[in-house]
Amino acid sequence: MQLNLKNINFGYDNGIILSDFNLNISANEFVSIVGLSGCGKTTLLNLVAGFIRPSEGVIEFENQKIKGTSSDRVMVFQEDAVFPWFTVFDNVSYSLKIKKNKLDIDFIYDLISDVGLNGFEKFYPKELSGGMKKRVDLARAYAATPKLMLMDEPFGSLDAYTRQKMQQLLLKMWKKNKSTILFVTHDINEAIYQSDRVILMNNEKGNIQKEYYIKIDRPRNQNIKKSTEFIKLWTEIENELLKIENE
Amino acid sequence: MNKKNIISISVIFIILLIWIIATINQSQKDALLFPSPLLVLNILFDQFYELLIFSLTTWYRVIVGLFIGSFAGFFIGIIMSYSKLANYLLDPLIELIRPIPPVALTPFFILWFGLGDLSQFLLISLGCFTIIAISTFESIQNVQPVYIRAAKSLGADSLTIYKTIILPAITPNLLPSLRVALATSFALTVAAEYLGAQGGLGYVIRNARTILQTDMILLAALILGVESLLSDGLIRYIFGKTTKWMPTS
Repeated sequence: MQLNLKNINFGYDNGIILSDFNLNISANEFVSIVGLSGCGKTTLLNLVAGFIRPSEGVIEFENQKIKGTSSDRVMVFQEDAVFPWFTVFDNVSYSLKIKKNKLDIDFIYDLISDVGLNGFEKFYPKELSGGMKKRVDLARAYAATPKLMLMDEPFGSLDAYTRQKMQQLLLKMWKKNKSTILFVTHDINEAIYQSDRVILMNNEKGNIQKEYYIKIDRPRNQNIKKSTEFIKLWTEIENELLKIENE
Repeated sequence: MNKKNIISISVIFIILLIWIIATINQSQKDALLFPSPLLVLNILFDQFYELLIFSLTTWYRVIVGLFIGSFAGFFIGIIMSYSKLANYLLDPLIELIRPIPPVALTPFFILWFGLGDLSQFLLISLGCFTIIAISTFESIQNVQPVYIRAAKSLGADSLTIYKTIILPAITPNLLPSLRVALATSFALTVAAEYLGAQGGLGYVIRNARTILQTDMILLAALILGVESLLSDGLIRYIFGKTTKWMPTS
């Protein structure tokens, strides 16, 4: 297992968010976390990213205890986090430039082209649309060659069409760049479509309600969303979610 | 040239024209109360060299004082944002100095540091220091946390975050404060010169006042206006270059 969360407890003054939480994720797995607002999805990502520490328990990444942030575990946020004062090129190459290693320009250009932004290298973010900025964000994250991508509702603010495009792009980047993905979303459809495993959180218990292994063949395209298998899974997860809501 | 510029320049010319027409054939008493532009121009050509030296003296003091004060303020603002302890120590000190108009301290500065440039630099620096320190500190507090978190997650340490995130993010906010600091610098320089410092346009105004040479006073005031305008333009130009990335509203 690449990522192990063992008996994690975490809470703020006003309540418990995660309680005796356990999760193991293997390398190159695509795991989505769904749940109602306030169920600790984002807290979970912040813990794994190293922004915060658990009150109790251990988080291990490749058998090393997580002590802080690292470019091995890059986070992509829901908000627009593309640095507006840098051009597309400077944003994408950020993680490499700050290490002062010799910059492999071709590598950056390839990434920019992979996310479909060739020709926009010298543009500032103000000249790009919301969807294009997300593409920059994705290329920037992959430029750090992370082993684990932490994605906090990254496409939450995009319109439905752009969102589908971005899901497709993420799957393509995931396949090409070999990384594990921990993806937080409130969109069950998005979770099933992309993931190997969907984890449903229970906000009352601060723990996992249920896990679903998605065995739909890859590569997947938007058509699978109309298959009976997909719809059955979707209904199942949605009913479980309603159950939590009504508890 | 766009419509705005045409209107702006026309307004200036119209005022100048009214000034000229209103002061044609004025009596000596009227000339004393409000000198005609021709009198003012006459003085300018008459004492061009001395006025040039005095103008440059004032300008030099303003710029040096602004430079020292702003850098000190910027540095302290950053220290205060970096360390909570520094914030707790320095914040009450700054809040203590801030409400006192630095002009009120001019006599002390002249007593302590003499009538020369040093006391001027220190006084102007003090005025700019508080403005820039507070503005720097508050701008840093307002940097969107998501940028800092994103940088951290991509492997940046705190020094890198200051250089690559905080500095560019606060630059647009520093422009208005620096312009206020510039105006303060001019006010303080002229006040200090007026109150006894040697040289400079404030000194010219003080001397002209004692012999009621109003055309000279008006000329000195106009030169100060021009210097202030040019300095302000320069600051805005530099900031414009460094904030190309900003969305235009």
